[in-house]
Amino acid sequence: MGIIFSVKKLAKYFPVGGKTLKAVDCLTFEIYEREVYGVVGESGSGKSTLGRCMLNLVEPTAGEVIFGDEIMPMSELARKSPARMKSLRRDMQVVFQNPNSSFNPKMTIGRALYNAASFFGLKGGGRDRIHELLDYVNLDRSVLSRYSNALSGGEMQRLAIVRALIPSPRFVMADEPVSALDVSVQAQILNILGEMKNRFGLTMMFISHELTVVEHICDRIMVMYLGAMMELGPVEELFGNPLHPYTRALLDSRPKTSPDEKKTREMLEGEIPGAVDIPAGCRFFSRCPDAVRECGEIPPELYKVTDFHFVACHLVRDTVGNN
Amino acid sequence: MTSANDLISIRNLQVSLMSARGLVHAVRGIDLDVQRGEIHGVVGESGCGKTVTAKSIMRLYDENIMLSGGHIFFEGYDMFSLSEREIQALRGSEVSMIFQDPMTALNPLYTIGYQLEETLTNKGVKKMEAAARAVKLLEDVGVNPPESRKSQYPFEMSGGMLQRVMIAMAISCNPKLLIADEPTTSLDVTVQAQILDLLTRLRDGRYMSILMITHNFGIVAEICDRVSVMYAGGIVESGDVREIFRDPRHPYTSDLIKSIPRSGTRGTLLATIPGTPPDLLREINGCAYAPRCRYASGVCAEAPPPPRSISESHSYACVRGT
Amino acid sequence: MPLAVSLLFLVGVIIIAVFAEKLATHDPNRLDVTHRLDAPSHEHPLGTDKTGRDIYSRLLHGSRITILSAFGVVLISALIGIPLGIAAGYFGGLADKVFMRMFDVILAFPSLLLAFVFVAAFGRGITNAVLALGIVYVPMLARLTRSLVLVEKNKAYVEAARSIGYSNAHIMMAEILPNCVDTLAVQMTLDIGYAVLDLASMSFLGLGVQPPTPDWGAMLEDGWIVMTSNPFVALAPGTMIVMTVVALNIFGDGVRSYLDPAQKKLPSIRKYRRPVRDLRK
Repeated sequence: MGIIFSVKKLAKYFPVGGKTLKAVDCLTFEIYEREVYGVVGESGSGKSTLGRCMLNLVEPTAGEVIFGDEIMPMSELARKSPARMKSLRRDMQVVFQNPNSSFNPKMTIGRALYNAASFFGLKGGGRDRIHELLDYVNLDRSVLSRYSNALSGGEMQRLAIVRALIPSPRFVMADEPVSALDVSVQAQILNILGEMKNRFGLTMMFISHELTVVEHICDRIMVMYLGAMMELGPVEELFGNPLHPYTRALLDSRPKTSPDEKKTREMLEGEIPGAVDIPAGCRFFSRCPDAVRECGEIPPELYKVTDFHFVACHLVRDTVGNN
Repeated sequence: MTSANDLISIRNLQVSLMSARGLVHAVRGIDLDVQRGEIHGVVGESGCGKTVTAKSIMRLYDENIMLSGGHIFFEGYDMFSLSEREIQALRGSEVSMIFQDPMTALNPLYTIGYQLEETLTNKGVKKMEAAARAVKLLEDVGVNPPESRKSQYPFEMSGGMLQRVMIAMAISCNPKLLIADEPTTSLDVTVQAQILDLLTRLRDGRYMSILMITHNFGIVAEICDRVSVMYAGGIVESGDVREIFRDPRHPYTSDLIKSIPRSGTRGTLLATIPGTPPDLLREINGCAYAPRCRYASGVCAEAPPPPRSISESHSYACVRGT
Repeated sequence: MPLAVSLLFLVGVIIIAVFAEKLATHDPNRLDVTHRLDAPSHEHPLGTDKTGRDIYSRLLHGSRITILSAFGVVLISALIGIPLGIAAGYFGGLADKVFMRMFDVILAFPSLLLAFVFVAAFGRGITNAVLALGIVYVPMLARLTRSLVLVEKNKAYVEAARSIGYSNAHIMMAEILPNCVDTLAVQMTLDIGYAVLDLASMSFLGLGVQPPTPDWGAMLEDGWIVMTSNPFVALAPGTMIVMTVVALNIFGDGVRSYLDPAQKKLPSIRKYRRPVRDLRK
């Protein structure tokens, strides 16, 4: 398995009234080719900022993101070789959360799509490609002459997928792509997203706060809290054997799927604090039900549980042994 | 027709609203009963009329909405015989409501303590007593420590805390019915779990009924006793939550439940519902779901299916037999 | 209704300006000392001024220069102000700060005063007056553009455009600008009205149009001395100025409410409404 994205000690800080908001703080991970990499966390966990840094839509404060076979980090590339950066862009596309506002309201859908196609230099203005993709997402060609406000959320999200697929990217990032949609529409979009990975040989990163959705579609999942990684592992392992107290709490707080389901709930108290004054020890310390003194003082490292399963928790180190 | 145990009974309610495209028949003759002490879910996708139904009970209408028929009985009294003034007196003291976005529902210029006390003094509670009761209420909904939290402004509080404050305001006069319109949609999962837990505890402690408006079947499974599934302005299925989850009879209910991702759906295609909901600007003659329904036959398009009951606690509107 | 009337009026003014030669009964600059300050008559429908020129004809010809120069003012301010505003709003940073403070300074002075200074420095005449007002109008339009861009640039479609890799120029001009055009068009319509007024003031003070070219502001200046004896000389151009400005304002307002769907009124539901008590039947 090749590595398509390699993120090293990535950090993004924002100044907030004289203080620093650490939206993403020293994250290191890799995304393998042809996998669906899930990023889960509550709002304020920094998952969207991470996504924007990875696509170089915002410049990271520190650390680097390296895409594909490129050697240079993207932020450096954008400065030194904008042309090379532009050609990288076609390989990584994104689908945003709010489908209706991610298209220019003053442009017909057709124009937005054809603009993108000609920007990427597709043959014949990209007509065949766009028609093929519209067929793929099961949309009639008549949508091309309409404006975004005349279409439903489901239709718009399918068009966002079409737009992302126009340049035949290798990587598609989906930032909460189904959160704004109704249940039945959500299923349609999830099916398309799940299927297109195989059909087009894509790698995907899937950012979401909904665990059930992530579980349905992802191969590996990273759980984030206050800009840092809490746990990382393959879906089966993460959902079957969650080790970090935060992961466990997240799983516990999912609503039941059926009223007959028995549940011993471990309710998490409080809410995610602001990422301004991050405590010295573990970020989850203030809400952790199992915290011991050490947790408040020393930030835990990432401990390896199995080859693919990592946890940032002192308590886990004690149970699995130090690696 | 209504039983003594029903706190609120809605009969053949019809509501229309004016949109830029014309008159929309948003609620098309629904029947709904909320019993004392139960949590009743109203679940459906956006535009199905669930929020309009909730607003009808409070008669919280803006100038573009109107009731066009039906009855709402509250403890046996016909709400439509009440004047605007009498309804006003009912709001807050008998029926109260919480909304999706607590941030916009509170006035940013006043402390939450002031706003909470004001709802109390508005209903005739003395100032001194109101202050004490406000502290007690905040404690009840888990805003801790209440004394210092009281003097905070809405922008100083998190979304979950604000929703707790909204709940405190809503229950301040011991209403018999609390209408919760997507109360956890803007909150994180861990906070959602806290709020749902709080609502359940309040129901148990105060023997209050809750009408839970939501699009999330998970929330229905989690806290509701009974549920009504809405589609295109009508109720397609209604009854005990367990029965409906075990044995959904209306094709829409079962299609919708099947389309939700859960453990075990990984790697499979989710069931989807073809087509889109009908245009509510037009008359619907037969079953509203017929154009999307896999079992639809000729009769479905002709007349609206009569509601049938399969047990005392489970009814649905579909011509398809058992 | 007022919108229709003002629109009709504006179309009329434009027709007059275009066909002034055909519609005029006299040469606007021909002096006729035998008919000084004539009252309105069949020969001179609006009378004559103190040198015997036909006011009606001068009014028609004057509309041309007034309208053209007002358009000129707005065009100049738009050509400078809108690109500046877009760039300042989109890029932000130091350049934005510098430009905005500079505009604050310009805005601190009354616009006419600044235009006077400009004309005093570069000489009087209609071209300089138009240039001066055009530059004085830049800050208002630039600030409006900037504030619109600040709102638009945080919308999802801009981020989507950035993620595709479009250049900044493309994003500013093809994505953001079309979404600001509505509001800018309204403001520019209103600005034409202000420009008519300001140009008239400048001509009135002798800083704008130079005699004998007919212009409403200059005509007003001609007439105000004889206001008590021959009110028509001043009233005719004065009325035209006021009506044009009012019509432009109403028109601009109309365009605004037409473009803004939030302000569009829904048809009343009242005709369907029955009293709640009736529903029980």
